[in-house]
Amino acid sequence: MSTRSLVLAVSSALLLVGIGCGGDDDPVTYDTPIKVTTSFSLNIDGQGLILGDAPNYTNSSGTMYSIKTLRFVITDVVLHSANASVKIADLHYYNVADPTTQSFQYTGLPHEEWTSVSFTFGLDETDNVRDKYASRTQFQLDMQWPENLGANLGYHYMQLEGNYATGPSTTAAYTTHMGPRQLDGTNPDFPGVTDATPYHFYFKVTLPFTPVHIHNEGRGELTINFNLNDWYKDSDPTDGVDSEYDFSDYPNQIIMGNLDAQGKLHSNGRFCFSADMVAIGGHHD
Amino acid sequence: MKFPAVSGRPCRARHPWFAALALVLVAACSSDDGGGPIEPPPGPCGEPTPLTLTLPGYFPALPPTPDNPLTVEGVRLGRFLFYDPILSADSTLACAGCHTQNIAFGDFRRFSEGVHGDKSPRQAPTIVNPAWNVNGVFWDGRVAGLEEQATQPVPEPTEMSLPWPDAVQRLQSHPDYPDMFCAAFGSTEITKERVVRAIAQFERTFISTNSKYDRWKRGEIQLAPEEMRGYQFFMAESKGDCFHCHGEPLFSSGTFHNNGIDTTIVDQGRGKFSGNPADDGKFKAPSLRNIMESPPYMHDGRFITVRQVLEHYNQTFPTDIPNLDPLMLKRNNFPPMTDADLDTLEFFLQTLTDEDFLFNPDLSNPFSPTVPLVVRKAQKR
Ligand code: HEC
Ligand code: HEC
Repeated sequence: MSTRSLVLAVSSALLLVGIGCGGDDDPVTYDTPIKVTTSFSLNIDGQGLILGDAPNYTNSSGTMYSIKTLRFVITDVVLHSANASVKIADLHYYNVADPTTQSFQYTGLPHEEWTSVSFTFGLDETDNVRDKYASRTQFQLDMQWPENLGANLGYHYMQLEGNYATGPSTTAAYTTHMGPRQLDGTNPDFPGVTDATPYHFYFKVTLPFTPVHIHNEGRGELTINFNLNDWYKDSDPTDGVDSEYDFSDYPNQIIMGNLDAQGKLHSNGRFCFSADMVAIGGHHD
Repeated sequence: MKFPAVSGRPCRARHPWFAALALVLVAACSSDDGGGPIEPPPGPCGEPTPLTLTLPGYFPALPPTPDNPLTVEGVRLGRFLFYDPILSADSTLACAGCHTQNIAFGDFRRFSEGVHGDKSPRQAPTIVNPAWNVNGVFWDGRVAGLEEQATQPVPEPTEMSLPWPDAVQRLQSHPDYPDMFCAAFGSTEITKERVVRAIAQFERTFISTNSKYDRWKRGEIQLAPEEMRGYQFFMAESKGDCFHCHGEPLFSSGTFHNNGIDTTIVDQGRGKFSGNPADDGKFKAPSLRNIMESPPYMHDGRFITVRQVLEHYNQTFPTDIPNLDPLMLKRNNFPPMTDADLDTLEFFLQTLTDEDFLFNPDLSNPFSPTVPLVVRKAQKR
């Protein structure tokens, strides 16, 4: 690190502490920047995630399936209290095959009673731009969106893959890839189809949790619970729209750019998530 | 592009070939950095010159290597070491003996041969844009980085078979190397760590950014209609769907997959060192840059032509291959590509050939008569 960037790092650390102390009469009480660690708890209707070839989970249509790949991105992750909203991550890329992606930290929370977390699943119009996150190398390489589904669109939101049972002892692969779509007629999957205005299927969730106050010298642990089975379950059976998703609905599994499949995932996805937050350590000073 | 004044540095080369080398890479001088701290006076070796690689905007950021920053002198030293058979037991085999520049630093043999005639258990991969190879080096990713990788072939009995202490001793008593280490690392002391750092620095300059694909990507030229269609096929789920593992612009995600070349596990691949049975049969998806020039293909070199590779991907896969990537099995769900489709894909793959990389004089053998290429290039400009 050069001296100059060191100076920058030190001064931004001071700045964070400064925010942490903002508006308080007694800076001594609040001199420790508060850290929050966010992690993900993956489950399939309460069962833990075990990766494998053999179908071991059952979706709401009764189809058995296994999970082999899971990668997804969330953006604009914000913690909320009655008075404050703090962005704790711009973009977080999760890959079940890479433990280094499975949690992230933010340091410098102000003293507030936190009540909820919100994020965008995927990326919105301003963020889902080709090569926008080229500096996040692995995200860029793993999640780039094909040019022929949107020349200036950037990234997948999710790649969830595995096998599903097609009979008592036969399987096929599914690849639940989510992302936007724009077509200029050249995509061999949609020959001749054009839609100049892109479709986006990201969604925003706000997840309340039991309010929590992190006291001085304490830290927070935020868990985002992610039930993968909810992707495939009709999110609202009373709304007259059947969004149940079974793998056999798309026999060739070519669902990138398939408006029907992406639409169902869009409707169901928001019901996959819930959150919990706890305070660890800390004292009332 | 300019030829940096390598001569501005202490370089007491005794052989003309040491001086003949010039770098076409852009050198960023630390003195450009106005307002920085006052630098300590240079020692007897002088300060190495920081080297900044220029990359097209659509490339991912170069992963930082704070423990081994690129310098003009380090890269130059690494180039000599990479091509010097001095690092092998009988002084016959250099790194370059199994990694040939004009076939993308791969080996045309199915299995390479070490100094004692042993065959490597796997095919020597190409080395293209290895600076981004951050998930692990080798087919199975078993070593963390290029430095660690470079420690292995030298003492390996089936490869160069020269114990490190002997290698270091040879370099230390060489007429020129101590000075080159001095210029690159600040003292004439030679250690294994310095040797591998220099080699890794040189390898990080193996940058391929000037294929036809790149020139198209930069808007300098157009692809021919059949190449453009091949690009569409490379992306399309119902055709090649190659990009999910060989994504732009590196044409390698650096991640590990079982692409189904064996129906049962023959080589455990990544599973052998990770100990995770879910990794059995997984290998790194290598770069497809310069792929037409670098047969044979796959970790065991089983395919001789790219067409054979494409036919492999175009088969109906058995559903019971352990850890088979779902993207492979998914191909069973729709009709295979026609011969004409495969031709189309090949047209695109051809655009990934980068002659400026394969014949880049800065990456060539500094001991051989090809060095004057530097002059020829300079005259052309
Ligand atoms: C005897 C032939 C031989 C020699 C000599 C040799 N290599 Fe290799 N190299 C191989 C083989 C074979 C592999 C693949 C081994 C594997 O993945 O298990 C390999 C792999 C590599 C890789 C990994 C590339 C990737 O994509 O993961 C790098 C980098 C490399 N060699 C650099 C070097 C350097 C530097 C030297 C000299 C110090 C060297 N090699 C000497 C045969 C050789
Ligand atoms: C699921 C990921 C995946 C997909 C999709 C994929 N590949 Fe590969 N590819 C790999 C892996 C992994 C290897 C190395 C396998 C081995 O050596 O055992 C590889 C190897 C190759 C090689 C040999 C490279 C070399 O240097 O030996 C070529 C050529 C290739 N792929 C081309 C393609 C093409 C063309 C497509 C699309 C039709 C494609 N691949 C789709 C993962 C993939």
